[in-house]
Amino acid sequence: MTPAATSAATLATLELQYFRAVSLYRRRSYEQCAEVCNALLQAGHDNNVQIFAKHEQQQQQEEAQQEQQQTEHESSQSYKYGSHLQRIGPRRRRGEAAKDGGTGQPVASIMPTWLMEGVWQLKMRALTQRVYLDDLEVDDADDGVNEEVEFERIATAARPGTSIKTAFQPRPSTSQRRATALSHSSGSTRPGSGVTRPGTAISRPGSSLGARPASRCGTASRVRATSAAAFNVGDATAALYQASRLNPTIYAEREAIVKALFQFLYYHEADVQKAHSLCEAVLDVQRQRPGLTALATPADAARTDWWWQQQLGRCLLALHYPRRAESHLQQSLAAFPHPDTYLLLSRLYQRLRQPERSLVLIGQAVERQPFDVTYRLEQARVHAAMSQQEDALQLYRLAARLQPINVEALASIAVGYFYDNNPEMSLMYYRRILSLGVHTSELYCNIALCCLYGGQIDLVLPCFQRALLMATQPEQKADIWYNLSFVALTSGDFNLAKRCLQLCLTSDARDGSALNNLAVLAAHGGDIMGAKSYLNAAKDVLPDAGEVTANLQYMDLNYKL
Amino acid sequence: MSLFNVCSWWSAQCGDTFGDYDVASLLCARFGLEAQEKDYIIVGSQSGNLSIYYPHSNVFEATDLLLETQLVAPILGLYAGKFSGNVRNENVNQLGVLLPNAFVIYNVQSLSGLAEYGTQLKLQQLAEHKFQRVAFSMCQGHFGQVKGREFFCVVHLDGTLTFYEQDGISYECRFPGQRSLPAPVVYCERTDSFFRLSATWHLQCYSYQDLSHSLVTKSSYQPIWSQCIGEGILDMHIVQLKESCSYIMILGERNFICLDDNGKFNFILKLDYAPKCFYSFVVGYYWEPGARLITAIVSDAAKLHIYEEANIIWAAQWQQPAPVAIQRSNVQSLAGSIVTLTATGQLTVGYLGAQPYQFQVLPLNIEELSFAEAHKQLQQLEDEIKESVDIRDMDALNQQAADQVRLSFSIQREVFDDLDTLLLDVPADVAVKELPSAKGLLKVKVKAELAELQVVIKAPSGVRCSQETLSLVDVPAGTTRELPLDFYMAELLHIHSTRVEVFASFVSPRGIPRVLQQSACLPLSMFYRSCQPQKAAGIKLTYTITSKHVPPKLVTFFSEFLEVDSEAQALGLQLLCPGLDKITEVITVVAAKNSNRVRIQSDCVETFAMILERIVDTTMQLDNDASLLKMHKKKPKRGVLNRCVERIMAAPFIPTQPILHRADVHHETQQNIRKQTEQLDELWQQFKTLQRQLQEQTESEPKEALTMQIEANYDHLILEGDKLVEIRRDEHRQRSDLNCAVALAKWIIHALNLEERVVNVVNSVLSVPVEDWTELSWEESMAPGIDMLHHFGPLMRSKSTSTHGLLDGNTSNRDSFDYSRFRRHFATLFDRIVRLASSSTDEQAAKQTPATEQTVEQVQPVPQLNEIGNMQRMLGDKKAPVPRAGKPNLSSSLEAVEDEEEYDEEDLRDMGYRKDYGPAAGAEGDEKEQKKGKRSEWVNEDFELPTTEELFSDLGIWW
Repeated sequence: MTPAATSAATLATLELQYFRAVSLYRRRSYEQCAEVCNALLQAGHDNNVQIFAKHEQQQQQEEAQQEQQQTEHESSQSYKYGSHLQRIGPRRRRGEAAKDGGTGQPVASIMPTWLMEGVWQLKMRALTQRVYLDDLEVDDADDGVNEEVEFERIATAARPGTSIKTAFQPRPSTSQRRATALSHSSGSTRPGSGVTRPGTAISRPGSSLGARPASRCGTASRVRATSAAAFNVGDATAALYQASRLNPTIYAEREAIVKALFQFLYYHEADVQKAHSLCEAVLDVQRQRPGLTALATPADAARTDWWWQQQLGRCLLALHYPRRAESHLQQSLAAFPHPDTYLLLSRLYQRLRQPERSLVLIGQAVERQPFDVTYRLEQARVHAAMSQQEDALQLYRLAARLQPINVEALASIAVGYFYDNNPEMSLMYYRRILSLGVHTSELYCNIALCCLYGGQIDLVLPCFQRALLMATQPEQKADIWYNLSFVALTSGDFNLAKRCLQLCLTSDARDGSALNNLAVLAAHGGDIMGAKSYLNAAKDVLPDAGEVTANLQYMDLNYKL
Repeated sequence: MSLFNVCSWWSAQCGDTFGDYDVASLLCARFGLEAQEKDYIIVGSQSGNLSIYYPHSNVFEATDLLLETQLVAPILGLYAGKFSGNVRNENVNQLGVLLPNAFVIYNVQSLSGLAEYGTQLKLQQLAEHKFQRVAFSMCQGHFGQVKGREFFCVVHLDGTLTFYEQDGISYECRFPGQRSLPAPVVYCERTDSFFRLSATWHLQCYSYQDLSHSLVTKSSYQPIWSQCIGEGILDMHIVQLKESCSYIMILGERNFICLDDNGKFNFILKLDYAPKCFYSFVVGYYWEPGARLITAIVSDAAKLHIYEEANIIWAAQWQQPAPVAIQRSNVQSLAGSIVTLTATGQLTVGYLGAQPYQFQVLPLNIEELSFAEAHKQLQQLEDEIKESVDIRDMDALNQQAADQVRLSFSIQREVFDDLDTLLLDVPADVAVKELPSAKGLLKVKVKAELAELQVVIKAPSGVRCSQETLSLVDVPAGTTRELPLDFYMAELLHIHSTRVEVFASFVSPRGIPRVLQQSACLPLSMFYRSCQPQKAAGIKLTYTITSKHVPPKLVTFFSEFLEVDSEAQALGLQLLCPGLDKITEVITVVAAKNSNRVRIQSDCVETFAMILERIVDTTMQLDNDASLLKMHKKKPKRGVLNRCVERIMAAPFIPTQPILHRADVHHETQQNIRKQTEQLDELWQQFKTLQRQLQEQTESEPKEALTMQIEANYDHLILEGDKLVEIRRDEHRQRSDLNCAVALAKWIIHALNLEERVVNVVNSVLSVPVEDWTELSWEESMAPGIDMLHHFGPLMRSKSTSTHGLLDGNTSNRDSFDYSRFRRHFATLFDRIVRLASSSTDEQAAKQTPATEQTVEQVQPVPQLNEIGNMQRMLGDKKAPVPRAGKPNLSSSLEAVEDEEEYDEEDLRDMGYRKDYGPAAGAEGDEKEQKKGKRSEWVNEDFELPTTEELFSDLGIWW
């Protein structure tokens, strides 16, 4: 065999591997895809594959072809890229050197540049997709100010029965009831969200990431804390992805990969800051060369912008700069009505405490697409955030009619029924959700509570048992134990209730409601000092909670301490 | 509507069960073999397995499989179309198989079978188009609106396109713009254009004409239109819905997008699941009104969503894993079936039935909790825990630990000169001196399984060991390790001790920790060499060897330097180690000819520590070996004399001034360090300010002056930093000198004729090696202890001062450390110890034999009168034997607070001390005594450290 033939053969196997990687990527086997890519990249890095460069003629032909295109379409930019290429893969420079100095000598080029680049990009995409979570699934509509705190606190689960209304029956205290009303109206917990937003989270591929909470994965800051590092696969080429070190301005000019890179930074690395600076760099580049881009692809320029404007808005929103984000998102929306832009803007207006504007905006989208469940759900969420439960429920019903398998709508309706003292109806909806195949500890917890208040006592404990078995996160466990304490209270077993609450505290020591309830139970048992200290602890955790304050006042009034 | 099942009508497992199928592996097509033909299902795997199925009824039968063949190359895609112009029949399609480097066109021929075998198919190769680059997918169509046959173009992985038109005519071309990840390219017949996703996630439309002419004319061309999709795509189809318009259906990674062929968005549907593959089709005919655009999207959770345009109309669930390819097909006796293929080659023909999907909750397998069993387990666990934390019998525990890990540590008597200084990384200034080194051997024998074992070898500062730690994890029983060790000088310092300690700490698999300790001494010849004895010297110490088992000869103690039967009476030793140029540090040891006294003399404080250590240790060692009575078996009792005195007794003299001088020097250096650090801080601050100024300066202002300032400042900073390093080095040296001095005092006090408790307390205060912390120098950390001894200890100066007042003043005074006060106290402490010891020695001497003049010589100035009385009373107490210890008034300690002295009870309460008088106190003291007795059983007392309780009661404070 001639050298050319062998080289072609070896190249063909590499290319075939690349094809496999692409195929794996298309069928969403991201981890396998990343593995294949790793192997390929490794092969590119190690020098052990000795293949010869392609035929001189062929090479020249290719070179000429490339040059032609470069001069034609990328003109001045292409050479700049050339100098930057080495930053991506050390091998690439050598490949180019081989090309440049291609005098027919057998040069050890391992892999053609394009292949290396493609593999690299593919791996980046695969890694991004593997951990991708729609940040619009994040439920941060109503807690703009002290978002962090709120997120920690608000349960990831629907918590029917969190309301102290039913719980505090043993304690005949008027202040208690007043407090209840307060808490209910403030609506500090968005009901049902834990179960409701399954979206990408539940159906996300890569089940090996089971450790991650299946429900909403928090705000950007939350993502930053968890996502990236925690899920790194054993990655031989991890050095390629030193994302924190990359220089945005260099990559901003590389149109071919910069979008993928942005998503990698935002979703995989969860480095919003970096993603944001990349966005700005790209927009800078576009601003600086309006002539060039316009010349190259006249249609592009305007429309590229909507994407980058949207991403910039996304980053700014995640970084808690809603006002700055607004203009970008508006521009993006003017250029192109992408659903994500609508949702981001709506999220932004809620952040700014202007839910009406958000409703108006979503209303526009709904007019365009009256049957799109996404917008209906967003409308419902806004209404729920505005404490317009009736409207919200109507919209959820509508969404459920439009898309009867929409779990969020079903769960919200169920929660509505539950708080409407209609646990039987609620139970029906929850069972519907269960029959759709959603199988989470929060759901079982909710079913158990419905059974409890609906009088189906025999099902209560088995459901809680299942919930406990399926709970993996400490917060989930805390919620379940907290709710179990209501079972104990209902049956009058205060000791059991205390134990449940204590178990809740062992899972999550900063559970204010549990502390509060423990205080009440302690006071009921005559341990006034204990109650007082529990209340103070609860006050530390939940400084704004009406119940705690009311209880403390009550204690001050009635017990001279 | 709810969630339904996708009903399975017919299913088969393809030959290749590995995950080698993707979206292009499935094809439903007709080949025009017979009149009433339905769809054939063709499956080709990436390992080269090609099968053709033709379902006849709702169960898979062998006759359904019409063809099964293995190709040599992987099958990347399957296509059907009129690829060959030679075929007359209009309805006949050819099968195109895309291989990595070739596109092969087959004619499908039918072989009618005999009787029950059924028909079979045969492939007849019509043409094979080879190409160099590996293919990704293929795009076919009536390019250029050609009639009667289809052209095709192969999309390569690197983004180039190879067009095959007519027969054998082919050309390559590329899309303009940058190379993107391989993605499908589709052809739209209505507008005769191609659609592709560019690297910037734009959907671009190119006319066929531009593409085909680009190579000929070498001209550049632009997309006709371009739309930003904003995400990667999984798949793309073209569907013609109306005469005037076809739609491009795109399944993005998160959205389902539909554009018309002019680049206008029809809709974008945000999907709330992860899509996997899709299929779009038209129900009805596009040229008739009422045609419906239906799309089936498969989610990753194996749900099938069916949309009419963008509205969901049906949802169903598969029982098996989500398929990777889906097609709508018209198989025999089931029109409009859903054909799916999973990644593992499970081929299914299904239909949408109204059978609701029921999620089957797995049964809960919880074992019945047996309380008796659980209780037993808990009990067992508790027992184990109790056993492991039970420390009542410390001796047994230590014994057990020693059994588990046998440590044997020894150091050879001989010294060596052949140290590999390079290998051991000895600093050059030390290596140049060619100091002797010693060899040791550490054997560790693990008898029981251990989770973790760590051995630390701790040599005195200045001496280094070739291996200082040994860590083992998951040690199986029976492991033996032998470590040959080298001990060598690593720094030119005065060494205060020859003792090398080995600590072995280990954790058993159950998590029970134990610690073992062993020690050995380095040979003195490592630090000294013999020389001419000196006649006179500044500091003279005398030890009297009182043990009968120890021959008072120099050979006994210094076998390194003397022959076995040498009768030498005097030995001069010169210190090797710091090896100063000007001074030779010589120590002389003289054994008395006819008494059992040993005199040690030198001008230099630093020389003593190791010699004294050797003398005292050897005496104790020999005596212990000989006498049957083990020393540490005795319980410590109140008022007992230092038992050491029974073997060796030091003359009561402490070279206070030289010792204090070392402390002075050390303290001064400490002060210097502090000053230096402050200065550095100041400079650093300045430096930062200047830098900030430089940054804040605008471009236009001149920078020269500032730069110069910064440079000067920087040089200064470096200079001062070097100075600090130098001072630190000095401090290190002085600390080791101080070590030697303190050790000297310690060894003297160790063998003084005092009450044992006093010796213990003082020795525990004077701990070596001394430590400096950044926050607290040694002097500062020592001050409270010395103060305590000064005011409350057995050495208290006078009974008349109010104790609690002093304590009070002391606590408030903590912030400001007064060195002169500390020094004074230190001096008086030594003073009193010496006085106490000498008076008792006097008395003893008076009792036994006439006083020796040497002892008298050493005695410091005559104690003051009132103190003598004091002393005498104390001595009287001391003589009072054990039985009196329990009596009232004397219970707490000998220096007992004088009864007549009045204490303000209130004050004492404020101080937090409890005050008791008379019998009650005695009774309590008694109790305490007993308690202490018990407690001391488990205290591992080689050298007992008093507990706080003991200490305080010793110091006359009731607790």
